[in-house]
Amino acid sequence: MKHRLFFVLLVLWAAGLPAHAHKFSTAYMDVMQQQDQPLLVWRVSLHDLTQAGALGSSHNAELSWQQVLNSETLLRSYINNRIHFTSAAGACRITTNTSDWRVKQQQQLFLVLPLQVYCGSLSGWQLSYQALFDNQHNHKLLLNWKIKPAAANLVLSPDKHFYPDVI
Amino acid sequence: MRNVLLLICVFWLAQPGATEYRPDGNERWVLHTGLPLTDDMILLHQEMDKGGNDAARLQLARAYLHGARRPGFDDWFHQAEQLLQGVSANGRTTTDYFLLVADIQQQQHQFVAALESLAKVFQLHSTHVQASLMAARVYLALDQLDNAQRACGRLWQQDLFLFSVCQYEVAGRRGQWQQSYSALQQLWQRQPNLPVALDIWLRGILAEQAEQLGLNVIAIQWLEPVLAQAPTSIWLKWADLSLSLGQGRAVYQLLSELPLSQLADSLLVRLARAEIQLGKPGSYTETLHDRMQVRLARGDSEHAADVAHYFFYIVDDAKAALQWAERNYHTAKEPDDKHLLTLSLRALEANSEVLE
Repeated sequence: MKHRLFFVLLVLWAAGLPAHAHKFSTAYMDVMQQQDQPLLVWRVSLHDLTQAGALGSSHNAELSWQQVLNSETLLRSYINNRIHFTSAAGACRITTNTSDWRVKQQQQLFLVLPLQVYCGSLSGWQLSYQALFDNQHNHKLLLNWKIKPAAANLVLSPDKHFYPDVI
Repeated sequence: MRNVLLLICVFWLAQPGATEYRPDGNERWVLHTGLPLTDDMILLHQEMDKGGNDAARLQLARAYLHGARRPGFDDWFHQAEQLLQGVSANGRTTTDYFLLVADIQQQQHQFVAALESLAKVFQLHSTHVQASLMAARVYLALDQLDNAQRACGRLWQQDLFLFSVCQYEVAGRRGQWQQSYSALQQLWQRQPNLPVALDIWLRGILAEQAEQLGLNVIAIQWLEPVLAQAPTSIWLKWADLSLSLGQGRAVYQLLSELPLSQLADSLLVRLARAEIQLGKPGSYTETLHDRMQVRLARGDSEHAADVAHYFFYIVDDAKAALQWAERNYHTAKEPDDKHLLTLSLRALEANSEVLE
């Protein structure tokens, strides 16, 4: 037997066995209108946000609510880099207030984040979502766009990351 | 239309309800029970924290990817993916990188992409052992037996033991179950000190062949001694065999020890099946219903076998089971995938006969 190196065995083990499915990452978002401006409510797994480094260290096995609140700046930056809202007047501003944050137990623990959006126009609203795609290969957003006439339930993924299609 | 209804249903389930609340500042949660890093991984992490090079990054990614195959360690798959994303342009031309990418791709059932990555390894090393084995595995998943045999052939001058196991696995898939099983058994008996990884690999093939010969009890016996160290795929095979023999208690005991949040859908389906077999209150079944509603709403097509299992064994919906088994068979064509397709088809035919 000339099975030489341990690392060869590790790869060998990987090579010779069938694949199985890994866990699927899903977030939810409601998009509605409040006082002539869009309001987004993003429900995202605390575990996924932690892994993405949006709440500090990605190696945390435990997390406190205070740590979540303390990550406000980091999380704001993460949101502003990956969630964009535009109108006919151009890019809209997205903010979130920690006093509105909640958690929800839904198979796993979700952070419920209301995101206030300020747009320069009442028309041509469009959401572009690219959160968690870079560190959860199977991440998808189940979007509930409640604003007429484009009201719809649909799925956003790396292949189709914005809605509605046409402004 | 069905997907739209499902999405509405999932959104209804996901609406803010009684469980949404504003926590106290001191409230803490365990996001995942500690997945223990090995000493080597800790050292590699320390090296990475100091700036780390591609070699350390690839080694750590390999360790995570290897670990991710164990039940409950799915998160490590994403850690491996993230580490690979940080590999430099130079590092992306190395054999190790292509191998790891190929492994991730085959785990995602992106078999064609995996073969393309392996082709890059073969351009650098035409008889690379690990790449040859992985190529054989991918071809087996695609039921391309001639190509699988050619991939095994690359091992001929590299490692006779690996070559033989690989060849006998392919021969089994060609329908020569009895001859291959006898030969592999002899091979296994002649190697009393096999390293664990090789032992698990060989036992997995022997269990599949024993099952094909109708020897389900023996198939279980091949797997049980190595379960504690075995990857999820072996656990799934063991659970399916056990459930087929009405041994739901053993499946329930083992799988219910894993934290529910870390239980992959594939394992949860088997646990719910065991729960039903034992007549227990359906807490795992309820969780599975919720997870499957989300899976259906997401419109995923990869790893459709989980959904086919769900419809066949849990919901008893032969029509949906067949639809998902067909979708699964479109990408994966191993004996288990074929078996699932046949079972679903038979169930649907039986239902049609009853209705007539």
